[in-house]
Amino acid sequence: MRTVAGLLVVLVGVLISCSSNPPPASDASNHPPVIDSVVVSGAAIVGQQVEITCYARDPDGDELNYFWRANDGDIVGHGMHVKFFPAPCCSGFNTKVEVTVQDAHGAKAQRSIVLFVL
Amino acid sequence: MQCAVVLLFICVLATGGSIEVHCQSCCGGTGTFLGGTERGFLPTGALTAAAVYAYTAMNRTLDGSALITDPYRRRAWAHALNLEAELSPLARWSVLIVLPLTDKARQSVAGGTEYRFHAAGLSDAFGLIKYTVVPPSPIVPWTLALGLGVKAPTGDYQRSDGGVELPLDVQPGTSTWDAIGWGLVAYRFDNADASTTLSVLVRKPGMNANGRTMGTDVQALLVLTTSPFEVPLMPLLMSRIRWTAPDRIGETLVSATGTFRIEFLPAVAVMLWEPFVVRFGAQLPIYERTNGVQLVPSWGMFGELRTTLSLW
Repeated sequence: MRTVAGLLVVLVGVLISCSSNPPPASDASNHPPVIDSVVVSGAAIVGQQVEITCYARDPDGDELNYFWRANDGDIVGHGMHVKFFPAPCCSGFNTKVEVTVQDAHGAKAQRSIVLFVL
Repeated sequence: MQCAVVLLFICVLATGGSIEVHCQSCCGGTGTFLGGTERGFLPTGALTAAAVYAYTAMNRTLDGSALITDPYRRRAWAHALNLEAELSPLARWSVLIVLPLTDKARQSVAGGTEYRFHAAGLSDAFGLIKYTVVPPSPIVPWTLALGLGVKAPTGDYQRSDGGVELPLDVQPGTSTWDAIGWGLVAYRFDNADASTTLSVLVRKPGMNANGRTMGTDVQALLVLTTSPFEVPLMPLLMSRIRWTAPDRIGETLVSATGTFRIEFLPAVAVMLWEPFVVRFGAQLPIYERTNGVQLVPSWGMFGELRTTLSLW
């Protein structure tokens, strides 16, 4: 029994050591961007595209970068305007689309929208 | 002597297997292949090292058992290279570690837009502690081994391209810790020219970064081997049965997830020069049933280079 426990500890230790976490980034002397709204073009239907636009601004006038992610589905495009294609798996479920806006100094604003997939 | 040779082949070559360790069941499985879960007994002080390559093409979409046109005309492929090491530090005990590298892509067409996602890198590492309950011997025709293990989220699951995070089915990793149970039964037939091995692997995934819990995965691989030739060449007839439960979001089942699949995996193992063994084969679907619309594997192939060394 002690052998099993020892081997398990070694195994988990080896596997944990392979894991990684991304480091955070920030700049205190900067104003973060502001997301005014996230606009969706219509219903989320499997096999059809939904256009999503994020309207954001930066108080310091910095250029903004947009980062998109979706729980279940494909996002195509870049910048403030993207297309979303709901995954076939998830008809009848809510799915989350998230946009993160970042200025040149690393300050961020984030907004999530939830779409019901038909 | 012939019996001993067959036993050696069972120990070293009964790797006919292919275990898809991680699939993102929302979009079908483009998994990795592991040979080490089809090997039971390893002599004390022995180290087995292997490189296992597998290619899986996914060009079919099923709704139940019916072949349908994919709503996004999806096509996907995956290359996997598993680096395996198994060491037996104590009698009957061994530890298997697998580091998978993956390169996978999916292309889709929707709303007049054709797009492609692609990612490559380290996938989720996998470890298994094995105990051989009944080791192979010239007297007893049975071998029985059991094991417990974990799959760790070592693969990147936040890979992005052009300001968009890639879908989870294309990510190299799954973001989950999975518990793994494993068992192997081997039987040597009386004439000592043939043997059969049944290995079963049960994987219970944890919750992923999106709050989804992938379905429990049960895979059984039946391997029939015979050595009818004087040359060190062994044909392997394998069949894999795989059942994957539907995913859950909270307590709710995700409707279009979960599969049942039977595959035929013909292969050949050759001992080119001692102590190296080469194995290669194909992965062909026989029967498949999905819950809802899912992209599924069309065919695949695999190859393996393996060696076993005695360290002490």
